[in-house]
Amino acid sequence: MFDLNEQIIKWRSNLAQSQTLGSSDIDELESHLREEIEHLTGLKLSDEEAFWVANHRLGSTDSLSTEYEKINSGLKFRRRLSLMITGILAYLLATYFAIAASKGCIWLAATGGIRGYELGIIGFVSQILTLVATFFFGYFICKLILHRPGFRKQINQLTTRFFLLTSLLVFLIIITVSRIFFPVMSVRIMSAQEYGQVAWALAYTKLLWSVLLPALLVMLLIKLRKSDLHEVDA
Amino acid sequence: MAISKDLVAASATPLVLTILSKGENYGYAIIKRVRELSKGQMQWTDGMLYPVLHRLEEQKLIQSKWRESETGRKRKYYKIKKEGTKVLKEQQKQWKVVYSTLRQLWEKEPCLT
Repeated sequence: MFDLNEQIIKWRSNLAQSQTLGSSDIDELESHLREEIEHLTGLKLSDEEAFWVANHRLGSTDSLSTEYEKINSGLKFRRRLSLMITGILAYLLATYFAIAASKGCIWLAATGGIRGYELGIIGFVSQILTLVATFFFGYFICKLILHRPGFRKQINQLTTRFFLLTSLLVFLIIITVSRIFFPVMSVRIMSAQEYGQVAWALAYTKLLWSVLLPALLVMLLIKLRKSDLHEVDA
Repeated sequence: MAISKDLVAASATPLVLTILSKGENYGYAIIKRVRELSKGQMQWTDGMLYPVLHRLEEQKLIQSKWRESETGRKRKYYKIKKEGTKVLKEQQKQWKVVYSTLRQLWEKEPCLT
């Protein structure tokens, strides 16, 4: 059975994928499409026939997105920029969280009686593990949420935005406080020299991370560039 | 007879501005009006009108507003602005020159000898 609304939702998401049309542009085109369909069904066409005729008259997704690209050139750039900023924000949040968690782990291990360089290594390992776990968790959540229909509409609601912003703020405060709180607690139960050893071990192991991460990212970039080139060749 | 693509594209701005100079209107009705007046000979792909409208809006010749119609459908209405009327007048002059030049050429040239 032909479901007109379902087809229109599909048509909308096709247009949205082209990334050159804003949601207001798509709303306007949908309004036009529905009007044309109404006109055609008035001429005794079935819903399905009317949809395809109106769709054809409006123009293909490709030709529409090329036309809109000429006037919406800033839109694509803004979307890419916001994607980049989201990425940077996610990385910052994840690292802040990982640092706070590792400080917590150091404190816990110190109360358990562990001292010295081992403590530094525990801190480093826990930091990396938390970072990786956070990224996987975030990836999983994004996949789960983004594929839910109606999500975009929900995120545009003011209450949802307010909720998201508030939880972000609370999260930041908790992280910042624990980044101060845990070291203070750790210093209380160990001598300055022992704490220095922890810092020393942490600094050396972090060196590894600061070389490894950029190297990994560069490799990823090269790989992406290569697959681009193949597409051009073909 | 269908009008060529280039000619349709070139005439889009004066057509839209003229229709809007008679009162505010929305995309679907503008297309319908052009189709009626040209007896179906000026046919553009419907979707192509909207980028034209948006470009005119960017040039501040027209302005738009979302409003609900009597039937409850949300529509984006367009209205001509002062600057748009000015541009329309200028375009009218240009089109008249083009038209009269062609007409003079196409009419039988008087033979003097």
